Amino acid sequence: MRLSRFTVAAAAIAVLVLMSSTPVAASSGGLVDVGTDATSYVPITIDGNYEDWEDKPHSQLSYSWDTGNNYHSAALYRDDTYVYLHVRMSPTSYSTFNGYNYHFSADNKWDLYVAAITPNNVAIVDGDNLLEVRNQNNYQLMLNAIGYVTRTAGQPDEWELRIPIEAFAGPDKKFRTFTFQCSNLGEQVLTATGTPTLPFLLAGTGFAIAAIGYGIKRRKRTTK
Amino acid sequence: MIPFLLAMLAAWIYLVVVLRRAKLTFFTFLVGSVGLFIFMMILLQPLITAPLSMAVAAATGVIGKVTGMFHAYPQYSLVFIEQGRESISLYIDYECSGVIELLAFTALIWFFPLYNTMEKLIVNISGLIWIFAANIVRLTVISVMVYFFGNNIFFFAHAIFGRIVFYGLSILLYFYVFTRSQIIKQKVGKFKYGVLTSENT
Repeated sequence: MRLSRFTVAAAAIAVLVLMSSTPVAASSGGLVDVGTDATSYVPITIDGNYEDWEDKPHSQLSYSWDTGNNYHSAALYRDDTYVYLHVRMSPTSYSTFNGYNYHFSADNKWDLYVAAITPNNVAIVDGDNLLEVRNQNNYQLMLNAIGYVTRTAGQPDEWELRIPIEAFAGPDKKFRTFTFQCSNLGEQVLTATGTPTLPFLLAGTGFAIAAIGYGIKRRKRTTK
Repeated sequence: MIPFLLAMLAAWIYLVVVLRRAKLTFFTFLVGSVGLFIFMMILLQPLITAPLSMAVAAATGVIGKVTGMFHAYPQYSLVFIEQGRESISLYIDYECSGVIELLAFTALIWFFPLYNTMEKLIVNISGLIWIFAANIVRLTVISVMVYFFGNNIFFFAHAIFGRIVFYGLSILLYFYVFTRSQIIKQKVGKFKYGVLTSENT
């Protein structure tokens, strides 16, 4: 009886092993990896098309002294490879793009001050304008970091950019929290973070409690 | 990778069978539960993390919707808290989803030498629901604290208070399943406390 139950469990695991030889929906560790079969998943593409931001949560950026409606709308997002930023400027005032003093931080420890500017500082024209992203400390181009700003007559500027997580300093590049703040846009800090439970510690605690339970059982047997 | 996994699986099964036949129950429990946990982490965890993260976000979002304090974006495994002039996005990744805790509990229960198969199944399902709910409570506590006290409270809410809540609820479960059950099933002579029966007592 015990062996047959065990055999069933072993067979089930064996099937799982074989299943894992075919492509599966998700991979581990992805913060927003919801699988390729999740139809509602809209990944971010930096191309000057902002539809992929529509279902992402946005926050208002403004100054505390500005009690009117002069706020910008911004979203900070991340995946395994990049940190993404989307900003739509205030429709009522200060509607034009300013790409300086973007302060990104990883785990509140590793800071990046970047500038998003047009190549060769050419003037921004109506339509989509490619942006290059430079580290503001040394003005070096940031590899794999790009952006787009879109200008439409009568509309506030809108732009998106991405920063590779690799660009942040730090020993293993496994960051939990990203923040964004820009003094040109407002005082608020946008935060994207995880909330790990330290799961292996709890799993170990569970095992210890189970071992204690086993000890109680053993002691009962020997005292019978 | 697959042949290696199958070889390891065969070796693990062989070892567990040998230990069981030798009536080395503690080592059967040790090798069995640790092995099952590792195999489930390799095989099951990649399959269930994403849907579990989305389910956690969705369930937390129900509370957020009722209270109006936060919003969930289950398709991104994300809980968004906006309060006043501050906002924070909580991403539910595999370390936040509770998947490791769920698999660890499952691995322990199936090799713990106390319950019969039906009891194990019921306790396993109940435990999974409990841990899932505890994680929802944890995320709700973090979100509510951030909503009322702002982003500055996040570290305390997440790293200390939220974990105390989650650990407290999880350890309560472990205590009831693995320790208290031993006392309930205790026999004194021909008299036996509790109504549960077990093939192992």
